[in-house]
Amino acid sequence: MSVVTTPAVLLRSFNYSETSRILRFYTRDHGVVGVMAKGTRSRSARGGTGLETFASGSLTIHFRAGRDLQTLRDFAPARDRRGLATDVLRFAGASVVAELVLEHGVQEAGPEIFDRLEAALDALAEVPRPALPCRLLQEAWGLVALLGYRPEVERCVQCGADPGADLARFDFGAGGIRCGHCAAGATGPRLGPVARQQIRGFTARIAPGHLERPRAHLRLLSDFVTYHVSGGKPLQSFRFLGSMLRGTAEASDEQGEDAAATAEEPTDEPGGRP
Amino acid sequence: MSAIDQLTREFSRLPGIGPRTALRLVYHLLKRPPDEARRLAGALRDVADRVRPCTRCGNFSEGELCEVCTDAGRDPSTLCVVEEAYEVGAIERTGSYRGLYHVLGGRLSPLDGVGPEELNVAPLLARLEEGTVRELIVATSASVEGEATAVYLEETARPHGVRITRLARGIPVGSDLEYVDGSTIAEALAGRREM
Repeated sequence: MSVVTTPAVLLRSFNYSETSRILRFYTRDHGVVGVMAKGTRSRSARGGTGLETFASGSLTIHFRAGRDLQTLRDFAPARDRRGLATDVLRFAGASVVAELVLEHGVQEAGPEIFDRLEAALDALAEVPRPALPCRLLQEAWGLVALLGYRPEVERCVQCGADPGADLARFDFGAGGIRCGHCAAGATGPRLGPVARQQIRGFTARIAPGHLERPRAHLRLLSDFVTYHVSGGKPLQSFRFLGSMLRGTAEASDEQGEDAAATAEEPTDEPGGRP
Repeated sequence: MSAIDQLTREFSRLPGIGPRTALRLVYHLLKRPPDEARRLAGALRDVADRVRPCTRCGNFSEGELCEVCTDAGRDPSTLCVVEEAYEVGAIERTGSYRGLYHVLGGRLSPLDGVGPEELNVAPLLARLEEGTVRELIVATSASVEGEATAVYLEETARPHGVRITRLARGIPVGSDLEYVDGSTIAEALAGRREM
């Protein structure tokens, strides 16, 4: 067993027994790490202060490779992200990003993912409220792409043709779009050129000028993550985000199916609902 | 399964009790007069049969309404919202609060699938609708999840026109400043008061 110190972000914690907690961090040097933090339910416990969700800092653990739970020695918080709690929508967005990384769950060094995760949490804490759904899409799709699941939205996954101005059908199993000729049997939402361009932008973390149907985009993201990242199990935080978005001005895209299709945005068609 | 094994297994389901401690408790009971074990069994049965959530506030209660809700001496214009029923006891022990309570039954936790629908928010809004409450004290925990819950309650309760307050945060009584973390000191500075 060795003592390891690494930059880390606390993404989740559970109470364990009267005094201890189980923590799940994303670390720069070891990816997702589960940590048993004995005695830290007391605020005065050594190494126990500052252990708040989304806080980042320097984590020191007694580390043994292959073990499910490492032992906490100390956590020195560099920054808390309490700002994410001042707005329930920000909190929901940050939870989506956190759960996405945790569900991927790779226990290996991921400096790029770590930096992207930190940037995403900071961005969600600071972005103006009206731009929040759009920013969440950017950050989440950016992480999805970085985790190795970039969707193919430029060319048909079967014949390689560029659908151009035509609608294409998204195929979750194939991880991309199918042109009109190859779409038989595909049940994913229809995407026009604008929506495809927006998704390309999201994966490259480029903000679209204007996003008319953020909820439809979030549904597509949720379904994609369910299929590819979380093993068929929808992320809990997407459901929470959906309930928080209901009725908010930031995500008012309740139009009919036809209007959605002609507006060349992801439709409300099949798949799970966040 | 033997009676000893069965009781050991039941004890070890309790928080903070592992199999060895559970077995020690069983041996302790076996050494004591049988009446002591019967009294314990009776007390456990009573708790299971008689204690239920108060239909108004969600606190532990042996009747339709809990002792706090039925106490005519309490101030019905002040309502303190806590996450769990056992936190009512913590505030009651201070002896410095004379209002009523409302137990949420948890806090917002997206990763655990706990949203507003899973909490007792609708009954809280119904109580505010009655028009008696003038101040809502939000006593959710000082964590990110507790803070998000407080913000959600504030947004939801604001249209009812009540005063909404949050428990103060800062330096624990009796602690040295040197050992308090930066976030807590920052909160204490932000919430400083005139002397």
